Amino acid sequence: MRLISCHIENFGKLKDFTYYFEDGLSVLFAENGWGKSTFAAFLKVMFYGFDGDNRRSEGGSERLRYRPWSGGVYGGSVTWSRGEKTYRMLRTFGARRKEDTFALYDEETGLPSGDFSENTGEELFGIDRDSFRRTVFWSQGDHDTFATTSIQAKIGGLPAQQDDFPAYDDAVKRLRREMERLRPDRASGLIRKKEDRLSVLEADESRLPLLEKQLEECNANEQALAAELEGIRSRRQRYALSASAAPAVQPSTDHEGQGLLEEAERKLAMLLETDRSIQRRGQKERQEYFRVKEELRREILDEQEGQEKMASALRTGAVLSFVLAVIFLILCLSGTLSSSMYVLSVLLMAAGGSLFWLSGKIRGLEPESEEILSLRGEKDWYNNSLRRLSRKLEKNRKLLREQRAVCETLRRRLDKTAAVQGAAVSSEVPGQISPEVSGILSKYDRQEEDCRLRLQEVRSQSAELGDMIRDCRSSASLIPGLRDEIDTLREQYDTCVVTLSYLEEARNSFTSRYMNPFLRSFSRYYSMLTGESADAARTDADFSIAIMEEGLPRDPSLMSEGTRDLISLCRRMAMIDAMYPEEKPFLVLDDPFSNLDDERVKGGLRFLHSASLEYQILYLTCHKSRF
Amino acid sequence: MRIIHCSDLHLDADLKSKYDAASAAERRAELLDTFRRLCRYAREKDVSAILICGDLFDTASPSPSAVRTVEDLILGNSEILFFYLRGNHDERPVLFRTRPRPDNLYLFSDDWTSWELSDGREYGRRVCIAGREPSNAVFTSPELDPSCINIVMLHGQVREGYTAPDPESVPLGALRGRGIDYLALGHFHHYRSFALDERGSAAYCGCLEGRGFDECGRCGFILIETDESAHPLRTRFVPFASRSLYCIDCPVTGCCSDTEVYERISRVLKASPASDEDLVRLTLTGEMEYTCSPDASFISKEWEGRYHYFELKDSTEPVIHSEDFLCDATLKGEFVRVVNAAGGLKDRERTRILRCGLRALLGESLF
Repeated sequence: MRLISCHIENFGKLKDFTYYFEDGLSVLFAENGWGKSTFAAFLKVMFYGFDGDNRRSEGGSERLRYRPWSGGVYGGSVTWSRGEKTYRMLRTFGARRKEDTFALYDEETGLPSGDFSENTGEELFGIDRDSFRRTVFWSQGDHDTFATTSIQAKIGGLPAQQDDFPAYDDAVKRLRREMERLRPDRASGLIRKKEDRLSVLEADESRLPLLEKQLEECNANEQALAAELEGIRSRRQRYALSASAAPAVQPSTDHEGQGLLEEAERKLAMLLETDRSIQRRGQKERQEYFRVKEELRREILDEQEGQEKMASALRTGAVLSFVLAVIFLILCLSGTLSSSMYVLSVLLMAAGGSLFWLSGKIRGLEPESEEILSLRGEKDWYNNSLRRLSRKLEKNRKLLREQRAVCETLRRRLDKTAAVQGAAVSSEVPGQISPEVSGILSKYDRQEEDCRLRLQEVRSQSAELGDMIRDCRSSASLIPGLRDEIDTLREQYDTCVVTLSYLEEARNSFTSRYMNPFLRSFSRYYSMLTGESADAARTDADFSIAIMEEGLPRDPSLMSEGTRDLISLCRRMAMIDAMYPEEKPFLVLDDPFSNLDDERVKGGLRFLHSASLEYQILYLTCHKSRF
Repeated sequence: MRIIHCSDLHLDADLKSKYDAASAAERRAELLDTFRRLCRYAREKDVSAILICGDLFDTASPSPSAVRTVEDLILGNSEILFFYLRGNHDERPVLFRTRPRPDNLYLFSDDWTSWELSDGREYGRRVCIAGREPSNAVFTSPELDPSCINIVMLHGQVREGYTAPDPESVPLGALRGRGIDYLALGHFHHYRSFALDERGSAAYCGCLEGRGFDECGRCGFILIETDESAHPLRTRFVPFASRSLYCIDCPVTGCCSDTEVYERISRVLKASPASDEDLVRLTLTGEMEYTCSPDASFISKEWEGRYHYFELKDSTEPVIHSEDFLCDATLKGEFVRVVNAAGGLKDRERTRILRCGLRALLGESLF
């Protein structure tokens, strides 16, 4: 596409101005204030319309800025060609966009043409206004460039707007972070944590058959005790009836003894409850202890594996050193190498020995990462806590035994009192309760009480087993859900791993397809402008440029204004090369070398002449030194 | 005479695998409360007997407090007869182990047991209840008096013909032509009725209250009424659950944003029978562009407060139009081309990788 001529009716300070463009380089040299930038802006507006037309405030609008100072028709025409056809485009501008007029004529026939619409710029260049300003159109005061979406699309040969350009580095970081979070091979990874939890739940589930068996036994025991209690009661009743005695034992008058017994039985019940609570806590802590122990074991294995790998690498190094030492020795002995090389052989031997020693040392190291130390601490804590609980249980059981003995003594004391009273009643009231009958009845009562207590204990044991079974069932009910969750997490982890590898592959492929040609173009223009090589230039997926200095990429925005302009121009040209492999666009360069020193201006002029062989360039400048 | 046929109450169910701890505890309490309401209903409607056809408790070792509550309800409703047949969940006897069993509670064993519920003076015919708990023993036919109104209670999955001994099977072959008027069944958690033979009918009453989303729809019991009419029994299903559970599918194909998904859900929920007191699981189905990933936690917020329990599941399949990337100059396009060219990937795996990679490049959540 080429510019042939243009005529400005009124635009800013330009009035009734006509310009004919050269095929290659057109230079417009004029002093400051002549209207060069206005001319450049006219060309942009003719193709793309005004900047800021959509803003609410018209303060920043180009439409206002270039409104003719002296009135008259606001607008003009541009004659340009594309391929074989030549067009004349006429535009007039009103106060608002809807007052604008547009007409396009086929220059050959003079007839109106529908080949392009009001959006001629986008249709002709295949990029939006912003992208035009970042590539083809260099205006004063806006030298920066970057690869817009439209530019990306154009480079890829796409006609339409594309999505945002991918942030590869960010994507890779996020994938890695997700993999790190999920890692199944580290104790800190979510998958591993879930698997550990699953192990605990499975251990609970595996305890179920045993617990259920114990509960069965407990229930059988309970039934037997209930039957025994029933038997004792009926035997006592039968005996009481047969002895014509009162069905119940005479109430004891030992009120103090009765009070003491009640108090002792209350204490006994409390101790039994404490006993159960300690056992429950012990059960839970034991589970935790085994969980932590298992976690610790896995962690240590992980670390040892790492150490083993390192030791193995060192051993390989040592073997290589030895082999090299022997080769040098043989070569020295055979006279192929000078005798001074003996020293090298000895040094290699020493290095090999050191590596062997180091590998042994590493293998002998105790794994002690922060995770391991923490897990050890946790394990020790549970261990100590279990010991404490064991001691507490032992102490409580001792108290329990003592309390049972106290209860027993009190019961005997009450029985004795009852027997004495019974005898007294019997002697006073013949035919009621004899001491013998009373003694036997008391014996039955003791048996009944003993049986009742045992039944109570079995029932509490049964309740405890019930609690444990419920806990284990609860654990078991969570297993399928947890397994599904682990499967999903594993799938996600695997997806991250594979996605990352495909992204890297895509990145490499992308680089060779688009970025390398871009970098080559950049280097060509850079050499053209500076006479220097651009070997230190690096690009990324965003087609941005960094210059390597002392091994580190340096952002051009930190460089001098002149260097920044140079790099920006080269980057624009490299992008334009990539965007328009066939029919080249015209370029508008409004004093691009104003920030360059004399030497670099010479390079700039060289660049203009070389580039104008390929591109039609309108070069605007205000200084003779830059022309 | 009115009789209630219920089953599968699963009292004291753990429910932790279905809800979070707080919701599980609340639902557990609601299950127990529904049994209390059932007793109240029976009292108010002058129901003579409640037949519990198995799985009154969810486990063989229910908590003592749950057992105690049930015992108190039986004791407190002495005018109602409770016929309790254990199922495959509550296989161990747990009721009234520590206190005397009341006269209004009738229990069964693994052999046929029967009682006379009415001697016929009131209704003209005797009403007999027979039952047998699940057992590994060979299933034998019950011996019933054909002149009675015979109600048989069983727990298990009905099977045609005579099956091998299986505690969870109810072989219909052994029950047909035996004078059964009504076969009260438990085990299957949804209401279902069918003809047993020329004389009798059979029904699963389903669970009284749904626990999880595998027990959706109406839950309740069957009310059996007998009188002197030609047909001895009339039955009807009575929805009784305090809350219903609904699994609702919401197709979101074509939606491109959370707002559109939200609007689609609104429409679907508006058209659903679920009320504020119900538990709802809504599953997003269909296909969505890879760039769209409904933010379940954000979208759920609105309905979490509206329903008693609301859960949103995303089962949408991502759609990636690979042809759109054929000429894409961006890394996205290159990535799609590389993945599509890779061999050995299954379609689903390929889609998953594409979605993950493209979303990573877009800065969206990966999954």
